[in-house]
Parts: sequence; C-alpha cells; structure tokens
Amino acid sequence: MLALVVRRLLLGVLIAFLVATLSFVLVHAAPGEPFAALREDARITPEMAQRIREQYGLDRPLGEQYVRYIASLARGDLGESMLQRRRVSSVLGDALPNSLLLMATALLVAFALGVTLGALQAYRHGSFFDRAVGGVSLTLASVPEYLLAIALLLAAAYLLPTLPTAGMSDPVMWRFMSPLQRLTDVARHLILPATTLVLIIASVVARYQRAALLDVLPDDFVRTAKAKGLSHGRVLIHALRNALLPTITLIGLLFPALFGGAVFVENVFAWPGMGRVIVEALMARDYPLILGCLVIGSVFVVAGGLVADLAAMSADPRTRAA
Amino acid sequence: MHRSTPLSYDVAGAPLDAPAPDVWRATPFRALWRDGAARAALCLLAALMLVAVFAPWLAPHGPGAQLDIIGLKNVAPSAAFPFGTDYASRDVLSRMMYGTRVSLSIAILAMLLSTFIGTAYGLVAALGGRFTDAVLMRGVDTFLAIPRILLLLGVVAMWGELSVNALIVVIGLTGWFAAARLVRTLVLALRDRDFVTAARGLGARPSFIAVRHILPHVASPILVAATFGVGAALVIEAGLSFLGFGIPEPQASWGSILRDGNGVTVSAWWLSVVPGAALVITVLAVNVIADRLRDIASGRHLPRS
Repeated sequence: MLALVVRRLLLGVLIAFLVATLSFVLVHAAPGEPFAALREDARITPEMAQRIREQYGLDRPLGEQYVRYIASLARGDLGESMLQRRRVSSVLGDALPNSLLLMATALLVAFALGVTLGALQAYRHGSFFDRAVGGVSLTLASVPEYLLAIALLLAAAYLLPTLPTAGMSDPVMWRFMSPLQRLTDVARHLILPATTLVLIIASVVARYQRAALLDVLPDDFVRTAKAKGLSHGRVLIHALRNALLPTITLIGLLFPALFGGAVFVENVFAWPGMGRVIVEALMARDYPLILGCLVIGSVFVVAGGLVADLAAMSADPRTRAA
Repeated sequence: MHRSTPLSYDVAGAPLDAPAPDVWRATPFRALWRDGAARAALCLLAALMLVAVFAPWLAPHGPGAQLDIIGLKNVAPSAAFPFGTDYASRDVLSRMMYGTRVSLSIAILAMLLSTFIGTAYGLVAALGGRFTDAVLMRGVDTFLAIPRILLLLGVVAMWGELSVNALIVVIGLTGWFAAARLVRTLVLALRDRDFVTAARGLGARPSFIAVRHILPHVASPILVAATFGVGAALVIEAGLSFLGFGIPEPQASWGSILRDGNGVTVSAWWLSVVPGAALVITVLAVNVIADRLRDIASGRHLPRS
C-alpha cells in the first residue's frame, strides 16, 4: 500500500515537472515576444524596453531562463503578473478557492445524484425509468457545457427571473449583509453554474454506475444476500458497495473534464475563478499568469486524480491488504 | 467443345452467372444503414456536407456582408431573415451556412490528423520495447493531465490569430492522446499472438508486420474512436471560437456565431439557439453513428444464435 502511494506521488511530481517544461516550451516557441506590444508605444524608448526585458530576465539565454523558472517554481514562486501588477500566486490565491468551491459543490452533488440514479437504473433494469434516464444522460453527453450553461441561463431568465445569473455575490448589497445572508447570497449565485456542471458529470457517473452495478448483480454474494431474506433495499446497498469502485476511479479521470468545463461555465456566468483569470490572461498575453494557470491547473488535476486513486485503493480491500 | 466441365463454373465450383460477391455487404456501412437512428444521422450529415460544399451558391448573402448597420442590427427571425441578423447586421442564415463549411472541415480534418498521429504513436509504443513504451506513455500521461481546453487555449493564444489551417493542426495535435492509449492497449494484446510470431518467423520487417498484420485487426475500434473524435473536435472548435480564440472575423463558424450571442443571450436569443441547436444535433448524429459502429464492430447487431 505505502509503496503504491509513494510510486503514485512520484509519478504526480514527474507529471507536474513535465507540464511546467511543456508550458515553458509552448510560451517560448511562440512567435512574437512578451513585450512586443511595448515597441509600438511611442513613449517607450529602446532603453526602457531593454530595462523591462532585464527586469523579467528575458535577456538571458533560454537555458538559463528555463533553469531559473523551474527553480523558482520549486520554491513556489510563480513570478509577477504583468497585467495586474501583483504576484501570480496572489492572483491565483484569490481565484482558485472560488473555482474549488464551484467544482467541489458540483462534484459532490453530481456524485451523489449519479450514483443514486445509476443504481436505481440498474435495479429497475429495462424499465421505463431506466430508459428515460439513459436517454437523457446520453443526450447530455452530446451537449457541450457552454451550450448547457447558455440554455440554463435562458431558462432562468424566463422562469426564475430573480435568480442571479452573473458573478458570485451581489455587488451592491454585499456590504450590508449579515454573515448568514452572505452565505445564502453566494449559494444563490452558485445554483446556475453548479447545476450546469452537475448535469454533465452526473450523466457520466450514472452511466458508469449502472454498468458497474449490472456487472455485480448476477454475482453469488448478491444471491446469497437475497436468499438470506434481506430486503430489496439492503441487497441493493450490499451490491452497491462492491460496484462503487469503478465509479470512484472514474472521478479521478473526470478531473480534467471538470476543470475544462469550469473554464467555460465560469465565463458564461462571470464566476470569478481560474477560468476567467486564464481567459483574461490570454487576452492580455500576460505570460507569467498564463504559465501559472497552466501549471497550477494541471497540478490540481493531477492531485485530484491522486486523491481519487487513493480513495479507490482504500475502498478496495484487495489493495488495502497489499 | 469437349470439355468435361461446363465453362460457366469457375474453379471453386460456383456458377459464374451467380451474383458477384457483394463487397457492399462486407462493410459496416450496410449494417449501419439498416439501423433507423443511424440512417437518419447519416442523412443529416450528408445534408450538412451538401450545405457546406454549396454554401456560396445556397447562402443569400456573404458571411461578412453588413446589410444595414443601423436598420438591420440584431433583427429577430422573419421571412426575409429566417435566423435573424447579428450585431453587425449580418444574415445569420448565411453565416450558419458558411460556418457549416468551417466547422465541419475543421472537425473532420483535425480528427484525421489526430487519428493518424495517435495510431502511429500507439503502434510505436506497443512494439518499440519496454523503454520506448515507458517514455512515450509518460508523455501521454502528461498531456492527458492537462485539461485539453487549457492546452489549446495556451497554444492558440500564444501563437496569435489562427487561420483555419492552423486551427486544424492545433486541434489535431491536441486530440490524439486518448487514441494513442487505445491503440497501444489493443496492439499489446495482439503482439504475442501466433500470427504475428509466424510473420516474424518468416522474416517480415517490424514495420511491415505493424501495418499489414496488426493494423487491420485494430481498425474497427480506431474507426469508432475516430467517429467519436469528430464530435469532440466539433465541440472543442466551437468552444474555442466561443471564448474568442477561434477563427478570425469576419469568417464564421458555429462557435463564433455563439460568441456574438454571448451577453445578449436573452434579447437576441437566436444567436445562441440557432448555432447551439445545430451543434447539438450534429454532435448527437455523430455520436449515434459512432455508437452503432461500436455495436457492429462487436457483432452485437447480428441476430443471436
């Protein structure tokens, strides 16, 4: 068990390192340079441009820049955002918790909803309920998250006009709210973006859970449980415990999609998270911030996969003993 | 004159006037055509292809033609403009037609590129020995760890405004990782089968074995994955354009029309609904075909014996 964890951790570090290298290559292989726009500004003399380049270390040989970049990354230093004139770490420190709140809420609700629906589908295999949920989840698989977000936005505009559709809190009333009111305000803003992600993830989870449970239901231990006279519900829970493993592993595989989905959803609903930061950084060609987003985003995806793997291992008695 | 066997029989004994073996029946397309949903999907895609090819003749206006910037701005759908107009008074129907061209060609060509790279990469990883395999697969792990949209946004934004060709290359280059993994897994299972050993024993070169002996056996899963890949490429291209990093104005793709509707979702709903519906229906059609192809490849469409 411990050896497995260590191996998995080392692999995670290796991937993070490769991601950092890849991002660096990507940025420096691109045509044009970070401060190309400055040259067109008449007020900037060549000396000033040179000084700015020196300040960011852009006049040094590429190899040296790479080593310095990796070394400062290893110290946790992501450099300074050119656009916001703040440390990249503080920009991301503001945005990341918001993204995590959105993703974690969506993931928890989607997991619970998906497992329940999938289990009921498998239990009532072939019924109208099974086919209806199956049809909806297959259709949802063909709908990109940005379209689903737009559809929900339109639906909310007509059906629930009081539901906030942009931002994370009320910009005017926030200052006058009690802590409890603030909590409900954020929760209300969370509804639409989280629902978008929930629908997409829950449909995937439900399909896997249904298949996994259908695999397990014909097994001997389920028949034994039935023969011992357990109620239908108890039998289902008994079988479900054994069918949860592939679903937990799936969560880890879903992290890249979850993160990518959040990028779109945050931009549709103006949620102040990583997805908005990266699009703004890209528009402004803010190189340190782009690099920071790529690296931190990937590290979180890798870490999420790691946690899901560990959860699957500890839930599986076979690997727990090993 | 005195032949003992009649001329009308060939060597194998089948009468020559019998119908020739039906090549059409041997391909998966006939089974695909028999399925109602798949047939509808195929017809829909064929119609879209026609629209894409003949867009300049079918569309009432050019994709960038600004008809009347004051009077025809964001006009709701009517008889003259079935899909309305956008903020620059351009006819959305015409833009959709030209957009079909852009969106479909990007999706299909990008899929071809990524399928080719993924297949080659997977073959090399599976047949190239343990060390090559380990190195190549850690590379794929890395790429798969980065959300595809982040990787694409990184490339697209860094390299500035992209032409359609560059967009095809970029989307193709970021879409082959899963295909590489799939092909590697499939080939690993085949590598030590007897027919491969036999070919090796007869002195065939590794590249010949890979292409002539192994590749045909993995063709159908690759076909299924590639079909799903078209849907994924459609979605990702529209997504990029939607975020503002797609093809440059005034060219149209479904995603860029969606972007024009972002921010006026409620007041100019047709700018979101029309390209959105086109995208969903097309992706659904592609996924239905891929799904049926998978059933056909596994023999599930055959009657149970």
